[in-house]
Amino acid sequence: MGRDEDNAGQPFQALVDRFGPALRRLVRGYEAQPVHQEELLQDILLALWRALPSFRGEASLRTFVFRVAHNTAIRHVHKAARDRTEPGLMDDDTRVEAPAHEAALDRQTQRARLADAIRRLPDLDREVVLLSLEGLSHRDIGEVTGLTATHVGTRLSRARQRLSQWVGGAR
Amino acid sequence: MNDDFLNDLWTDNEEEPMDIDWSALHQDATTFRRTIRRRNLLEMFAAGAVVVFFASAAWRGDDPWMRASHVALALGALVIAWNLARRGEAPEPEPARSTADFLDARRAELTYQADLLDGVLVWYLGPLIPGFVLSSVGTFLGQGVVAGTVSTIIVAGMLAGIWWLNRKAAKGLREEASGLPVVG
Repeated sequence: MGRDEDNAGQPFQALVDRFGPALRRLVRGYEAQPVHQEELLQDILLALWRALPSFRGEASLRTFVFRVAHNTAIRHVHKAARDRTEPGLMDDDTRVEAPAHEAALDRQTQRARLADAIRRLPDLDREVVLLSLEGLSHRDIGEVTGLTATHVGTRLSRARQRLSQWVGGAR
Repeated sequence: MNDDFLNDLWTDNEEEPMDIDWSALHQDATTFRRTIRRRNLLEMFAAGAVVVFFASAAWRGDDPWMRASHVALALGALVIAWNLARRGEAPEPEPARSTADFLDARRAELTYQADLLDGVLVWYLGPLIPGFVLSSVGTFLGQGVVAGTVSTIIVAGMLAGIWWLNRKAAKGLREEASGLPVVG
């Protein structure tokens, strides 16, 4: 590893420590299979590693990380759709079916159903929902996506309604 | 189902700590740069080898049709090398842009690549066609109708195959571009 990369290693490690859990959740919103999730995670880390030296602080670090991560993920799933023969984003095999007794759903199953429902959303709705679930405000989501805050609100409301229908009674 | 419930459900899971595989990351970054550089070098080297091969064949040959064909093929390879050098690469979209800007840039990148592949008949195969025509004429005149027909069919089939593969790849790129969401 060269001198520049050694110098970049420390901030990059700090970035991964801070955003790692969010990135792990993010890849579950785009890819169904664990092996594809790991591939996407590696792509995102590589994209962040390459982009980090260009970070000048014009936007917050969180905006920067989510921009790189979501743009890389959208590119990844669309490229994969062209390359793969098996389904990725809409993988029926991994879809969690509604159980006979909703009350019996444990937290893990509920989370899997939510991830599955998120993957079924259109690209931009999925991104807006994932950012919202990470606690970003409409304005912050607008900074990441380039949408206006009003547009974010409209998309989010529509997407959450669809999520509720799909996850349906998971509580 | 309220928003807080979904937010809690999504974020309250204990995620595994992420161990960075520094060597894999470094290798990926290096491989990425090397692949682009190697591909460009390989294309130029292949074009150079073709020029040298046909130029020397033209120098050593006896049959005027075949010598003319070899000269034309060497010149065609030079034109291809020039086309490869000047076409450059579509700028890779910066992933730190907003999604809207990134998607516009990604669409432009895919369209640029698809246009290149769609135009392969003009900038890649076209420069070789005069040489192949001269070669077919030489084979017809020197070795008879059967040999001439067979060699023409083989060459035409090869060119058609390359053209078809490139068109197919271009179609895939256009489909990917049109599948990207439009923000606004």
